Amino acid sequence: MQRIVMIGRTITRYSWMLLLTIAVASCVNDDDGDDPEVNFDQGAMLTTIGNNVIVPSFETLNNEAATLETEVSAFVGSPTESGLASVRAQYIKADKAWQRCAAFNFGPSATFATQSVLNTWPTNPTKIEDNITNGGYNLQTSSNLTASGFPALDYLLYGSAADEAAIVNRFSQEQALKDYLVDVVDIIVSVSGTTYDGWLASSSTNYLETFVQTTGTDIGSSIGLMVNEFSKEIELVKNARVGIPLGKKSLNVTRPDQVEALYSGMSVEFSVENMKGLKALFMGLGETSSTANGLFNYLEAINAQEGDGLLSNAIRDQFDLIDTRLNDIQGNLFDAVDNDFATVDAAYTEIQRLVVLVKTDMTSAMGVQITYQDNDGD
Amino acid sequence: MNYSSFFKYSRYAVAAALVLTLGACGNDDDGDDDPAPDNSYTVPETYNFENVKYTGQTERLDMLAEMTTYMKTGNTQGTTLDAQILKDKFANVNGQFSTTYSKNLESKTFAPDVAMFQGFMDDIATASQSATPGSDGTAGVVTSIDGAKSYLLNEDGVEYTQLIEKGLMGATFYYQATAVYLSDDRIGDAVDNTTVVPGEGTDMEHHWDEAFGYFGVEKDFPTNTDVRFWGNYCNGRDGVLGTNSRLMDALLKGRAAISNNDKDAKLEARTEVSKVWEEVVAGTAIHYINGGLEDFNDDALRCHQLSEAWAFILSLKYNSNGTLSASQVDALLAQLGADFYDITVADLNALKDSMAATFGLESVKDQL
Repeated sequence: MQRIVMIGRTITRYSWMLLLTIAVASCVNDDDGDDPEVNFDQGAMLTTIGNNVIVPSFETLNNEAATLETEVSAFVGSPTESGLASVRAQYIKADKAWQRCAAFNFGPSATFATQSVLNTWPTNPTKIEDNITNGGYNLQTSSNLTASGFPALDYLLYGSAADEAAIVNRFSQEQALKDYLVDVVDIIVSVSGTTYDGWLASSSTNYLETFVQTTGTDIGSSIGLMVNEFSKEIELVKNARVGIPLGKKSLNVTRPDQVEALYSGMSVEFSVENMKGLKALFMGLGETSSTANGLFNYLEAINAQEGDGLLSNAIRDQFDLIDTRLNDIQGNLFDAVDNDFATVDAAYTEIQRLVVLVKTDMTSAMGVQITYQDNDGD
Repeated sequence: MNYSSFFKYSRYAVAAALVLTLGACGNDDDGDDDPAPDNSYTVPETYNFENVKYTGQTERLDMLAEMTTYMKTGNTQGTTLDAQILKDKFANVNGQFSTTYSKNLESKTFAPDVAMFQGFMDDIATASQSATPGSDGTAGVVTSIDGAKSYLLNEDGVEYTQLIEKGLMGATFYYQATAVYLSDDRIGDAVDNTTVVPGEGTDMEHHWDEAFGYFGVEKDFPTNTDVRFWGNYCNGRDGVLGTNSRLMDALLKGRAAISNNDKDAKLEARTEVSKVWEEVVAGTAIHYINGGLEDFNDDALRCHQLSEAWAFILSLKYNSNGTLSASQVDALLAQLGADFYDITVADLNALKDSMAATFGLESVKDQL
């Protein structure tokens, strides 16, 4: 009976249905009285996710951003094609490190608007060039979000002239362009650092402790926040990264210029990496850790069902299917939305399925309320 | 005696009561002809007191709702708004409403700020003339990245609909409730609390009921969460601040105290109403600053939420027993600035931290 009370309290919306189902089930099988959901340790799960997934991901981002700063400094000191190749390679590493953190858009990332500052796209080349020409810009203001962050770097390193030689030539001749590149990277280093610091026990914020201690599934709980941002980020992949370029918001008229990382053509790779970060959070499995304890385990413990099997397995398998579908896309997304619509659309369809599994099924199983579309009703 | 000086003396109330009690022991027929407070009464759980009437407040809530509906038609590109229609609605002249109202908003609005709101009405009409969608430097309708929300903004991202609607919630409803109806002039001991007007109660009861009427909740709130205006924002903050029962309980306590001649409880309730209502105002301002940070790269959502924040911060000045002076509120508004396209994360965090410290909301500032 303890089990019935627990479930009834957490999932009030479906409580009657559940109670009925359980009542019926218990008529058939009345010896399952010690189900694991009563014993699931949310704090242990949060500790694993925090220590093994989130903090190491931000640490990697912080380190990659610092290396990027070093590479950029060397490049602007003496612009060469090989230097440009090094900076580009490091930009990609740093951006991928960010993609692994994009799902953790709460706590310090919310305070510092990290996602907006690092990755607002499409970037605005006209605004960037105007800033370079006119000087006197403040890259921290909201109006310059489309002229800063990784997408601006993407433009500066790949799109600011016709080819590598021309780009190196510009950097050789234009001090203002060098300064701008340095300023953009400064912002990336700065926000990566403050966000990482915010998680650390050594900081005044020590959000890791708050994160681990705020158990439960109510609004404001760590699980509540995490699941909301998890769902929101998957929707961002579905809409902004794939759907909008594919024409899903424009009567099927494709909009290839809306892709993330337009100039480098790294859109698909970045989306793949982003999904890996989401899956790591879901599984509670860090890149260098051997033990897993994440939302997967929680769903398994409360025995959430999907069709004939477990919802936990269904979501894990869907992540794997999306990875396959994204990797099916040949070449860059800019070309693929027009040349290979069906392949991109197949990936979109699977991401859409994941949204349903997460936003509808997982949230109701856990008793988490989706709050990110709330706006006090207006 | 004004409202705030009254509270300076409240610490002496206990001592005075003790003296009176002791005095009463030695002399039990001292001819004190004040009606004795009946301390045996119970405070009811709903506002179903006898002789309650706040139809005037309900009318004003309805009028502001109609004004807001009209202003929001401007959120569709190509719909122009007429400043005179808005001003007529504000003053309730020339029959601009869907029905006949006997009251008006303008005469109950904090008088020194009436001209500011009328100016906003001119400004929203001007913004609505824009032939193009809005963007940084250009007035017009701006749509959120996901396409779900559209707002009419001026060239600096200011949404006048919010400044007017939420601003009047402050300058009219909150001001009338906290600074007017809960003042000594309306509920102080000199106000008649014996002559019962059928349907309206005593003067003092009626004044308290009129303050309640500006809250925007049903009599059985918070069981019933059919809410609007302040009731909506109180309910919105309830998950973090627990404001629903605290504010409602204080309003129930005060009305019961008045009906039972319990002066101490009345004053305690007044202090509590004022304090919790202000918490709703400040908490909602922080909530919208958080919203601006959350949607920092979405022009429509950021500007909309910062316009809300601006109006809720403004509202902080209309409580005569509020924490901040008018000039301190102006300083917060200056910190937020008036260009929501051009704002930094650091600025918003500085404003948020400062407000959280001022209102004792530091431990919950990120959850609001």
